[in-house]
Amino acid sequence: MQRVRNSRKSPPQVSLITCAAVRTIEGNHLDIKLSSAGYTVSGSDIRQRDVYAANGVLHTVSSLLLPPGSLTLTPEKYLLALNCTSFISRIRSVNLTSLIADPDATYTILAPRDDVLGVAGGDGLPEEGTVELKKALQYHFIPGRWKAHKLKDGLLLETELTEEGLAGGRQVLEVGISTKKDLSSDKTRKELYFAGAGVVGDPSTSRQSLKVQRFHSPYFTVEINNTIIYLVTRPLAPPVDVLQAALPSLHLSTYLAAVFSTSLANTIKTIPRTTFLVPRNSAWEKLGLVTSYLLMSSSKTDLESVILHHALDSVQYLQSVLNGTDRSFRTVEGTDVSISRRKDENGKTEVSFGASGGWDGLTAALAHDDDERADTRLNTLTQTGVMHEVDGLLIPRSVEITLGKLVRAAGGGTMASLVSRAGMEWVLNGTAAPPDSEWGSLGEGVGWTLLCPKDDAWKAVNLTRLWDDEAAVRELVSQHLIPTVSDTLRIGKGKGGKKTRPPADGSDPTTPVNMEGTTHGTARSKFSSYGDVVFMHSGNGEYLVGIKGARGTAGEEDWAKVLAWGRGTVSTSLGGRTRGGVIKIDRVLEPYTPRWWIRWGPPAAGFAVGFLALTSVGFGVRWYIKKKASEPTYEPVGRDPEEDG
Amino acid sequence: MWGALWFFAAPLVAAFESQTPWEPTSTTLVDLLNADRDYTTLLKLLQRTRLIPTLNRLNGTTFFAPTNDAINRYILWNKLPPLPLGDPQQDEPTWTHDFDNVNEQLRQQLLYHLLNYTLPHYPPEAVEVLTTLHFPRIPLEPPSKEPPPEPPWLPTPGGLLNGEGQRLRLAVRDGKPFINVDVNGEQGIPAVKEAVYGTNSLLIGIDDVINVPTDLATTVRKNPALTYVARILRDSHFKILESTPGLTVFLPEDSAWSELHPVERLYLESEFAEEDLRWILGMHTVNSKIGWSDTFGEHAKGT
Repeated sequence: MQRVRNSRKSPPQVSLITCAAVRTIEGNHLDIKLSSAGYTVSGSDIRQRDVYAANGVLHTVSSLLLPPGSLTLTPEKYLLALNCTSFISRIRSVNLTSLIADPDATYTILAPRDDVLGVAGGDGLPEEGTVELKKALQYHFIPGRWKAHKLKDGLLLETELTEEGLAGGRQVLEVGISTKKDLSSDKTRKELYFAGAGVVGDPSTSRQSLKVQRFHSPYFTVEINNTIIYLVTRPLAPPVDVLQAALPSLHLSTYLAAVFSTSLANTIKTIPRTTFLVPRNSAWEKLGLVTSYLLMSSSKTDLESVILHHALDSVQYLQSVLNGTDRSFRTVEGTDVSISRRKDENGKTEVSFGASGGWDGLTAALAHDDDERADTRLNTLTQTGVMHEVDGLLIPRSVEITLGKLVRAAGGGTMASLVSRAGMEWVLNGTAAPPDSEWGSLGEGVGWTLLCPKDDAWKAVNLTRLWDDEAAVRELVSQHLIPTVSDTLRIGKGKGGKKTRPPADGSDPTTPVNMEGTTHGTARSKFSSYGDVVFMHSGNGEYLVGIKGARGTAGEEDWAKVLAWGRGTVSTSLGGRTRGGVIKIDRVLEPYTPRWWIRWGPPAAGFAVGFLALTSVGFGVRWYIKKKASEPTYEPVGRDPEEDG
Repeated sequence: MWGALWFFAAPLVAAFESQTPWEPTSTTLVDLLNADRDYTTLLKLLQRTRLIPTLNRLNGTTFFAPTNDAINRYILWNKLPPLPLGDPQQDEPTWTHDFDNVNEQLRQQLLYHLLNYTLPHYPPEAVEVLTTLHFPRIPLEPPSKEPPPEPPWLPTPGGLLNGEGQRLRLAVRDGKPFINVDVNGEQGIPAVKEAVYGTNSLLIGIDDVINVPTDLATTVRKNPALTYVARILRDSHFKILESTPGLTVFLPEDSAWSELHPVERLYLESEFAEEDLRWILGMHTVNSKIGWSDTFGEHAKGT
């Protein structure tokens, strides 16, 4: 039995002496020093010394004995701690651990917690291990440290997701900030959104209560080392292709129908770096017969051009559309669309796009984000760029909407053949009138509007007889043709340069002629005083058109109802941009020739009345004289014998 | 001549004089215990644990002897079933059948009251660290009911403290000696009887049974300043603290952890941090030589 150790006194009070350097299990060295204040281990005080235990001894110390920076936890670990385990397991399933394993990587991470992913049922993320999931998860990582105070409403942040559709560029994500009134207190509370997903604002709702003063931000931001984590209320979905993005908006259905009716659907989804200007349904409706023509199965080529004219060849997010300096953007179709920006009285910028073709004043205004419609698609991100909603349809230069095309769209086959019969095909195919014809003398810059009765309307007309009578055909056709003098000729000589100007008469620019209660001369006006037509409102929002001055037998039938109209892009003159187009009406305007009694009746009656009056005056006078002469006269007899003689 | 004879005889005389232990007047520790009626229960326990021969063989002892009252108060020993200890109305113990033949646990605890040297000066002036004959060990298997192969007279060195005996502190407060005090000389068990010296032995009657220090895992769990550590460490870490021999552990107190980022703490508190916690524990643990504060100087030489 050894005599183990003799008694020891407690340590003497000495100033700093290095007592020992010991090595821990993990290999770092601890310097134990003794000072008058007591023992220190690597700089931290020993608080409770020598607590005996069966298999050793315990000292408590005042701080962690970890060299500075040695405990560098990875973002992965923080996410685990923040209850984002199923987010982590998904990241692992698609081999994205590099995003969360590097403690030095600088990222802002938008992390959905387990409860969020659980609540979402199908949890809103694609299947584990798929490419889609990988993309969706990359969309949750924003390179750089984005603190809450640096974020602004509408800011677009580039994420870790790179898209082929953006030519390898980073997909962006929109930041939204809205101010809401707190229900419990009167204070307003800012809410932060990433791609529409809110940020969890209240730390106390987390699993472990985190009442820590270090969270200065009003949002639940976790800032550690190089990482900033925002906990979001739902997983984020990366932008889809433009067609899918537009699909939920019913008011964009015509655009989708148009795209799907062509073979462009796949092209449109994949053209990299594009901005789509998607016209609303109302924009299509506004163009009437033009839209009908474009949607006809025989006009695919023109429709494709129109659709591609709405795809800008670059990514123009809302900010650059509103505040950029570009005057025009190249489209995928090949021609440019112009852009004009104007501040309204509220200081808001109004933006409208001008088409390369169509007619003057054919513009499409950018939808406002404060439009009443809840689902206005403005700055909607897509896989290949962005999508904006516009309220007008843009027609490129390459698409010529001739009267012939509109007549086809109006279902006016009979009228078309009659026009040809009258030798006036040039009206339909958009060429100028032959100079030797009677209309050649109208000069350049004349546009033609054809009033096109629907085919059913011809039932009332004996077409067979009409067909043989070429003069009658010409008369009929010219009664339906309204020539328009060129705006360009009239206005273009003034201050030039302004491309989009309102129509001279202030009427709806989509109509071929001004239909607001005005009279228009027709091609027949030259030959007949009953050639003019007049437009008027029927009272229930419809337009009526009739021959001016014509008197019919049964009042209302003398008026034709306007069913539809479409403005053509090409006038018959060279290069002119006059109005013209097709107005579909419900009955034929037969040329009016007054009957003989109508023509001669009034003068004849006048003559008769005059004759009668004169005759009666003559007879009256005669009667009076006669009466006077027959009265007996008394004269002295023989008083003047010569007089009696 | 006589002077020369005396010169040669002197060592012999001296040698003869040093033979005093053989005198019948020598009193052993057992004699001292027997002489005092306050130690009757303790003597029975010593017999039960075969420690009487041990006490007789030791050449120099200090024994902190719990009095009858102390043992009666000590609930663990009270429950020892076959001993007619004071109150017979104790509940029937449930672990009777587990008792081994040498009462290993009881024996270990009694050895913690025993030093194999006589204190040179008692009572001490300052806090004094004593090394006892208690060599803590983890029984790899429960002790058998058969007697050990050789008589368990003396404790065999070895065990969890790298062969060293467990320590015990002694201090004097207000002129009164206290056993098992903390490092500042506070708390502890008062000595209730005057120290009695026998031949090479010292008997000090104390008012309570001294508890054997528990393993590090239990020690950490019980420490009021280490609640955070106790909370975040997992079972696997406590297993290390419980069964690894010869550890010196520097554990940060609760306040120290606030220097970590809250999310780092959140992570450490989560179920995913086991590996990192093992590393952190390792950074605070030394297993080369036991670092009692009085041995710190030796580390400098040793490593």
